[in-house]
Amino acid sequence: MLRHGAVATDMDRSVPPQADPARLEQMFRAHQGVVWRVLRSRGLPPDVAADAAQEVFLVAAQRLADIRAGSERSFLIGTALHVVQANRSRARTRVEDTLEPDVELSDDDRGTLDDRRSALDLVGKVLSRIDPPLVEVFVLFEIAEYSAIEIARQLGIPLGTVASRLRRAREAFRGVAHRMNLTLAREQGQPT
Amino acid sequence: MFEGGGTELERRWLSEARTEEPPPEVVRRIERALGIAPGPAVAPAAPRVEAAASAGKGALVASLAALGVGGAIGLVLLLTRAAPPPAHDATLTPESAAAPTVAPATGGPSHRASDDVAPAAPATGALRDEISLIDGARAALAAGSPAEALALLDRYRARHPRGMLLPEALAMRIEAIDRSGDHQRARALARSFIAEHPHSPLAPRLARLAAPQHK
Repeated sequence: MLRHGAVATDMDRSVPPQADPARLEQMFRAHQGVVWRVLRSRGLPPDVAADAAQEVFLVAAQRLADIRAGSERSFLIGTALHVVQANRSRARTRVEDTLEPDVELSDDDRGTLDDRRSALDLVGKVLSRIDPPLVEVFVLFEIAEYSAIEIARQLGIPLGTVASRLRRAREAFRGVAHRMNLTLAREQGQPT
Repeated sequence: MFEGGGTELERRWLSEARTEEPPPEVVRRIERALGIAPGPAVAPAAPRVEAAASAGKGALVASLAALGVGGAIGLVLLLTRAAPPPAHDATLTPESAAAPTVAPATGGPSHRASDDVAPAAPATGALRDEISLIDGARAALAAGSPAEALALLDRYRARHPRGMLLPEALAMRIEAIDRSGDHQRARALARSFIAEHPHSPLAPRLARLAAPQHK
């Protein structure tokens, strides 16, 4: 199970004085939602996602002059993916160690499945069990609603690779969700 | 859930996930951090969905498991999907913004000295500076400037010897070496990286460079 530590925020958090406040605000208003959804669907719990979202927009504030008009969304989502990656590296958790063939449910998993949770909670929980390169494509397509061409450009991979990873991500999603459901049903003494 | 597949429940569930907004307290926190005035009241997050926890409620999770993927997704579907406004070429190119997750690397290629290497940053690194250097190197590679990419990666290595994006920087260095024409060296470095980190998400990306026929 991934342990998400605090997002690295050891840089000065202040907004540079030369930042265009109107443009920064417009970026925030327009894209706060998709940034949040990308972070959460990558498995960050709400408190960590809040730190990460703030970091994303502070990075944007610092780099505002370098962001070409019309590329704000792409920049923010790309930065969000960077922050997720850095968060995982910081947690010093090897990805392959978390890909368990038989899904064991933690208390947190049970809480997610038993209680009323947002759809994003459950999506993030399932995706946390899937190979990250596949999840990236899946999240960009299904959550950020990128086209395949945009995904290829964002990630710097061929279009065929996008299609392949998305197909594999969907199959993995199906598998993890199925195993999670079976495990829970067994624990509850229900027919499987 | 997917175009051409998935049950109605899955499509609705994912549709709800796409509409969820950050909690108001998170929005206010970021507003304060950015120094912008509080905005209009944020729409509440999407209504809670009842998660599947029992056989009865298990329909949700079960239906997710029974996705009608139906074989490979047609590339035509992906290409003809209605897309948000296209990302224009930016100084920071879209492909430079994202990076695959990485496993820690224990070694890496030697780097050339750079005349303008800045003093090393504190060991914990500065995330924003890391991102900036990695993005710049990726943009330089995309623009066909491997020498510039290597210079930026030298700077990264000097400033962030234990940076959180170090494995990505190492993989990008190998790519830059290859693009600069030194295929033999790139092949050796790629093989070394893959041998040390066979399960790294970066390994497939370097496999092409490590292939014997790569020249």
